[in-house]
Amino acid sequence: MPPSSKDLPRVVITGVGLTSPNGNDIKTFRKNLLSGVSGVRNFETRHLGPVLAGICDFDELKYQKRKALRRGTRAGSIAIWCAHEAIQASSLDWGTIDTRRVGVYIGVTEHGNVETENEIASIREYDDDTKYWSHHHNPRTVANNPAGEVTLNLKINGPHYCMGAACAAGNVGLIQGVQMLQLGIVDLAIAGGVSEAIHTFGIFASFKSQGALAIHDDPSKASRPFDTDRNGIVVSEGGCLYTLERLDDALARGANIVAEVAGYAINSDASDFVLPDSEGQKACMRQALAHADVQPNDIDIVNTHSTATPSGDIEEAAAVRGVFEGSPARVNNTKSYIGHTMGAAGALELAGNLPSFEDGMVHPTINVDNLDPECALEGLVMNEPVELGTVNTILNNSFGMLGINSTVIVKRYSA
Amino acid sequence: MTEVEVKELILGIISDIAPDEDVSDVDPEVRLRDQLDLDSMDFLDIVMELRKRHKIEVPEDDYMELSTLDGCVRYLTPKFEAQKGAA
Amino acid sequence: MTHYDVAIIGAGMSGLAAAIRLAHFGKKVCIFERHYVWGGLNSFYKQKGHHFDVGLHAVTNYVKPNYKGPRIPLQLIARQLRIPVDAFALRPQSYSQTVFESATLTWDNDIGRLREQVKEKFPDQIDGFVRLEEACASYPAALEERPFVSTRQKMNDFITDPLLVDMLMCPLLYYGSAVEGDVDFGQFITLFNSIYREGFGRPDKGVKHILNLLLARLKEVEGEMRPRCGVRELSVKDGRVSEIILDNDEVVTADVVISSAGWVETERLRSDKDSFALEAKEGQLGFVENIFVLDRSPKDLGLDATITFFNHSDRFQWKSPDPFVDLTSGVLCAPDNYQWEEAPREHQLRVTHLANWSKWFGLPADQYYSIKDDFIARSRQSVKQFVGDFEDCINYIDGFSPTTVTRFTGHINGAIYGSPEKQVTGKTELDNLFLCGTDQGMLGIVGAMVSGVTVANAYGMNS
Repeated sequence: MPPSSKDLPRVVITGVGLTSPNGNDIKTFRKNLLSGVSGVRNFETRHLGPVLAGICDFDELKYQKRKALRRGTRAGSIAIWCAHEAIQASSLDWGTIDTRRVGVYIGVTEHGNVETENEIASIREYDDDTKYWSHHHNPRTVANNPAGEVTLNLKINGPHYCMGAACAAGNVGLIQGVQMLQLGIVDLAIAGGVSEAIHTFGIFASFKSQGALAIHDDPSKASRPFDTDRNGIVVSEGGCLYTLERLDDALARGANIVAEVAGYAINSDASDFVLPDSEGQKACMRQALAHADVQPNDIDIVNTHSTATPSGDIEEAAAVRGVFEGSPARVNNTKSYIGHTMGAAGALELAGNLPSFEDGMVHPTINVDNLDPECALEGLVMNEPVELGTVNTILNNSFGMLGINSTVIVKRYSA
Repeated sequence: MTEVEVKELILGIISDIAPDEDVSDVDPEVRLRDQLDLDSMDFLDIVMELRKRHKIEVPEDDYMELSTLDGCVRYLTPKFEAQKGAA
Repeated sequence: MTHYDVAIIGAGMSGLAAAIRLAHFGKKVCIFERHYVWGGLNSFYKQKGHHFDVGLHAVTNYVKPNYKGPRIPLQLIARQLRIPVDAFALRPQSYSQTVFESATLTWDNDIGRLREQVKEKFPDQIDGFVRLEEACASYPAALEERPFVSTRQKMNDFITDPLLVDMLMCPLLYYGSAVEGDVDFGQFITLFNSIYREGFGRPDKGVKHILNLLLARLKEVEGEMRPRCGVRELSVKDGRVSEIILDNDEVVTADVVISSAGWVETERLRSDKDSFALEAKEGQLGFVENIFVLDRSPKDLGLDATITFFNHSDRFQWKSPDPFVDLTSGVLCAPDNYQWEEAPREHQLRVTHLANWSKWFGLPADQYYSIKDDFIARSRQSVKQFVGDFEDCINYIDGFSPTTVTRFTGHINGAIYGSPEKQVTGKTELDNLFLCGTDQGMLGIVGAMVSGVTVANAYGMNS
């Protein structure tokens, strides 16, 4: 059993920066989650033609010069946006910070596909003559590129790397940041996840071949977790990075504390390449609860991972039922609005729920016209938000291929 | 400076500005622009040459005085006299 | 510290013209030129015994020998610089052609020929074309601010066949527009008159002949020029340029500074701006050009047109291409095919294409040269329909890419036609700093000289 989080320094969130298909700041994101506004639109991909996707429209030139934008990647650009926004929200005096004590920990599902596909298409123009292969390809495709671009842009000298954890990566990035702070490796962690997935056609093509790519005449209705007519995943880009600090440091500088990271867990199903397993998911949630030293009854909101695949949603519903039987926890889902933001998902979906601490609401999962009986969950908040009054604890799930599961529990800060 | 000298001077400047124009037959009472291929930029040049070669200033409001050869002579002779007087 | 009445940045056509004008009227003038040779975007060079013009395809605004009509730009320049038109010794083109996939238009220095071509090949458009000629009858006023009017949209008033629109615009965009896909209608009128109405010419000895004329005149009027002496920074104080700091750290002062370096380039010289100033206004249209020295005349290869504007489809794309080079269209220039009086020293062919500047910049040396070589062959392929496969007729090749242009002229992104946003008044935010040349809005050799002269007259004379 890992050490209880009680034995380690407490870690808090002091700032959030994000870009989502339906908002580029937490206020807009939250407003749209409470009013059912989707971010899914029509999109054109290489080779596949028209698809549905969640597309972000943040101002790429706000924190980056054109020259740097051309040299770097979309994931890097998203990460830079989120990092700047989080730092601003945190009111950190960036000018006085010791940059050697800042770490950047970013979760990604994959990285490098976009640039490799682009280069292959590019040299195809020249009969596959590799003399045309860009000399920028390597720095663009190394897995640490998104985190690295943040350090270049913000002149950060502490450690940086990316963690590959499939669709659990957003949570995993956040967890890594917490751990590094608890170990005293850094004083500030910029942590979370990003995704540039829509710019690779391979992901769309593979989901399509798996029979897991959503189609619908109305893009805003295409992502339908738990609904009987769900037919797959909407691929999205996005990002969310948090500024994380040890509680003592945050208090010392009078920071505004958004939430406390109470506990977490990561485990592996060890059962299938692709198919999720409710047993592994249950174990993960239970482990996180123990780590955070809370009971299922203490959880106010469970934000599910569910991606709207026919079988995946059923597995998670079973797992949630198993853990939260009889508890008053409300259950929701963010992918119904913004699709699956891959490496960003865990971090971004958690961010969508954090404002509950302030407004006391639980945002619903939308597009549930006919609840699939196999996904029936007590406490599932469908289509319309619910006013809870006070929200104290949120549990956030993110699961990924190769059977990786992750759960993060955050609570409202109290001394 | 006599009026004849002023006339020669002006025709000299015009020849430098518009070398392909025949200035030998210019009617002094008819507008220069109607007889020779001169446009507003050329007139500005005449004014600037006057300043450069003879330190004569012609304010913008007086430009129309120079539209005929007679007009030039009438306007410039006193200015040349004034210079001589000041010298 | 040396003080000048007017300091001029850049010894290109516009800078030289401005200097001559000001020095003639007694101003103490100095041109500061970073390169060791003058001419800027229209300079000259020698390589392995071959003589090349950097940019000259054609001098526009040709004055026909018996021309009797309103003053046209080259005549204006002749007056303003006190250099007779004949001294430019321009020999007229034979004819030019615009060749698209399904139609060809030929034209020469008599616009009647183009009109006949339109009548023959696009009979339902001839009335519109004649009205277009009328609409282009007079040049827009110099230095006068005007809002951008889309030529693409305006053309709808005259020409309704999209193929003809593209074919008429193609040569004008190439000679040239800094705006992707379009050009300001005032600019269009200028280009229409300069190219279709007045036409093309070229001195037998190329651009050096013109530069020698300008230099001789500059010397005559005691204007100063300092090559190998670029301007590193313009110190700004109280809304004015207070000092000019040269590459060698020497400091000079001037009442007025006229810069032909380009708008964004000049702004970045300011001590109060950084190297990313006006990033969004940088020019985006780069080019590659290869000059082939041949062992025989292009006529022997079947090409008797002077300039050929070609497009392999019927829709003309004027934008920064995605690949390194846009081989689907280009300009093929044969200096041999002017009506020269003295035969050219060597037979040459010039082939130009649009290029994606961002792909060229920053390439490691080996990759750069390797790709550059590759495009020589590809470019040859793209003009095969006009000159066959002339690989065996080549004695020598030299070429440039966008990076070459930036290296030798300082113009950003190798954008020969400058920023898409022109500073037509020539003014800047600073009281004594002005712009002439491409970014003031006039292009080509004659256009640049007109720009220099106009800006000098307006802002340099009262120092």
